[in-house]
Amino acid sequence: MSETLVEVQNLTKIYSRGGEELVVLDNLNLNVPKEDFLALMGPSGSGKSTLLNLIGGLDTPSSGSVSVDGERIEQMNSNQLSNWRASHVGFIFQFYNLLPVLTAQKNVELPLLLTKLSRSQREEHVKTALTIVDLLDRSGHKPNELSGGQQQRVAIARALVSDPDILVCDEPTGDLDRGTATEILELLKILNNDHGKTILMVTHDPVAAEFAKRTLHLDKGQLKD
Amino acid sequence: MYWVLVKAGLIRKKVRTFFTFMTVFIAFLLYGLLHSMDDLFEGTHDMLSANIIIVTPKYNMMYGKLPISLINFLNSLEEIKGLAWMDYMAMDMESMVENPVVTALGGDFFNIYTRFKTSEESLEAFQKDREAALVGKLIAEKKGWKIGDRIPIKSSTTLKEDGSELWEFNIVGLYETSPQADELGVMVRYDYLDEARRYFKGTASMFIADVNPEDIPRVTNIIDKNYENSADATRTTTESGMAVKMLEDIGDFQLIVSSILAAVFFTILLIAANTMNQSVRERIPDLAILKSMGYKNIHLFIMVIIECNVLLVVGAALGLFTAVSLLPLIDAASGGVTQGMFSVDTFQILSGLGLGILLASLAGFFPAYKAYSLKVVDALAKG
Repeated sequence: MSETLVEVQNLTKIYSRGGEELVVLDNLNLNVPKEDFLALMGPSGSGKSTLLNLIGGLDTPSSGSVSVDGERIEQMNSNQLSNWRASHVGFIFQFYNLLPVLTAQKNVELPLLLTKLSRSQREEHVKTALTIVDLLDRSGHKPNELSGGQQQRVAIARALVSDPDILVCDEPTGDLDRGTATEILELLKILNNDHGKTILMVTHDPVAAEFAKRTLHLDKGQLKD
Repeated sequence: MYWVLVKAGLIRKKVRTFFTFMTVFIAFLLYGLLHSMDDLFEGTHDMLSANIIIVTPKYNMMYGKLPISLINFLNSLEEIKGLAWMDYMAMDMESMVENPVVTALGGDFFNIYTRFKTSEESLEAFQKDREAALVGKLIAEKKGWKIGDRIPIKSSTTLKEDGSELWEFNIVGLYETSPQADELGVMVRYDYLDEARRYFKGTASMFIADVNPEDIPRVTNIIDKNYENSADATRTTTESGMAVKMLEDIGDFQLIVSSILAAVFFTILLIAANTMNQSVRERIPDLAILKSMGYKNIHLFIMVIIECNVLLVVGAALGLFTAVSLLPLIDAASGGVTQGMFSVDTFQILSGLGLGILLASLAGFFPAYKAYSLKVVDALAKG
């Protein structure tokens, strides 16, 4: 766990709201090694999600650099970022955001529709991802036929299916009860330990953070630990 | 890739999609049915002959009369190869309900109007009997008339010499034509009608001449110029021109049809745009997730446009298909009266589909652009 995967240097993000400038991230530096499981904690508005979005290529910084596996993603244009996200990052959000009319299998397959994989290859990948999250027997179910925990597992399978380097998790257990949250966090731990996925997780929950290999605290756009 | 997403978008709110689809379907059904009458309005219907000119009173085409002496002038024109004249037995509304249209024919009618067909025997019998009548096959079937019957025709406005309203004719033959609507008439002899009627003696409603198509502009000009300043000014035109003019006298049908369709399609545009806008607004978190997976802005733009096209173009295609399928049923329901009068050609179908694509593109553009320009971070923050 020594090789650096994510290197953030002098990262600043400033939002302009109603003529006022709001500094969300202030000259932040961060290194994330490969196969790390990093929990980001901090009060609301501290910049956790913004940092996650910048590392995941969903947003661009005001200044500074974000390098992932040697690629400077802050220099990429919108299309390049889309391509990069498709092959390097899997996102897991608090509210799962599964397409309600599609089955679990079809939801998981969505990222693969962007690839040149054949239908049978896609099905094979989906099957593998659903097996990892232990939901293969529910592949034909639609989101409203699944529990919250199962839906989040489907979302994790969807994030995993294109075999990304990093899993970016924004409050992945924020909408789940303690028992189900623990199952999801155990699953993330397995993905980190057994499948070598680097995980960046934002959470408010200190219990959830304990599943990570290390925890960093953000406050007013700066790392405290 | 797109079909999975398009299908997901369309079936997300099935009832809304169904109603929007039905709105489009009905609009294009209307489009197809209204355009099936184009040929009639434009005078380009197959049934209208290209080599026939018709001379009518200039200022009252429907009910005016011209002196029968016009025959002499028309016969003097060497471009005219055949001539016929006709007059109608005028009827009040009550009589029209009970009686068929009775046309009195003179001259060479059946040789000029070749789409009217009768047998040689019937024509011979028609020449022999002054009270003879040739009746349309359709009206004969409806009324149960047959050759040899003597039929009464009541006309309160075309009175006999003695003032009576009741005319009687002997059926000597049947005639057929296309469209079958023209088989709802009865043809009698002009010479008998003119001699036996009390009023309008020596006049006819129209004169029909067989002229080579290339001579038509010159001949029509000669005739109308000749009567330009007389009390019996003429309007000479082709058969199709007369059909259009007669419809124009009632109203500008094409303008009415175009106005209805413009209103319908403008409404469709608003409905479809509103539906798509609502659909995209509801799916903002989904669209954001797709973008986070690596879907590009253009992917989502195209997805929304395709979705809108599926909704509108499939609705349009089904509406047009139904219109085309309904035309034979309308003919059948009319008992053949409308046979061949209404038709939808390939150009009209393709125009309809093109209109569907145009509407879909217009209706889908702004929602598609909304999806295109959606910022993932903002959308997820709102979602």
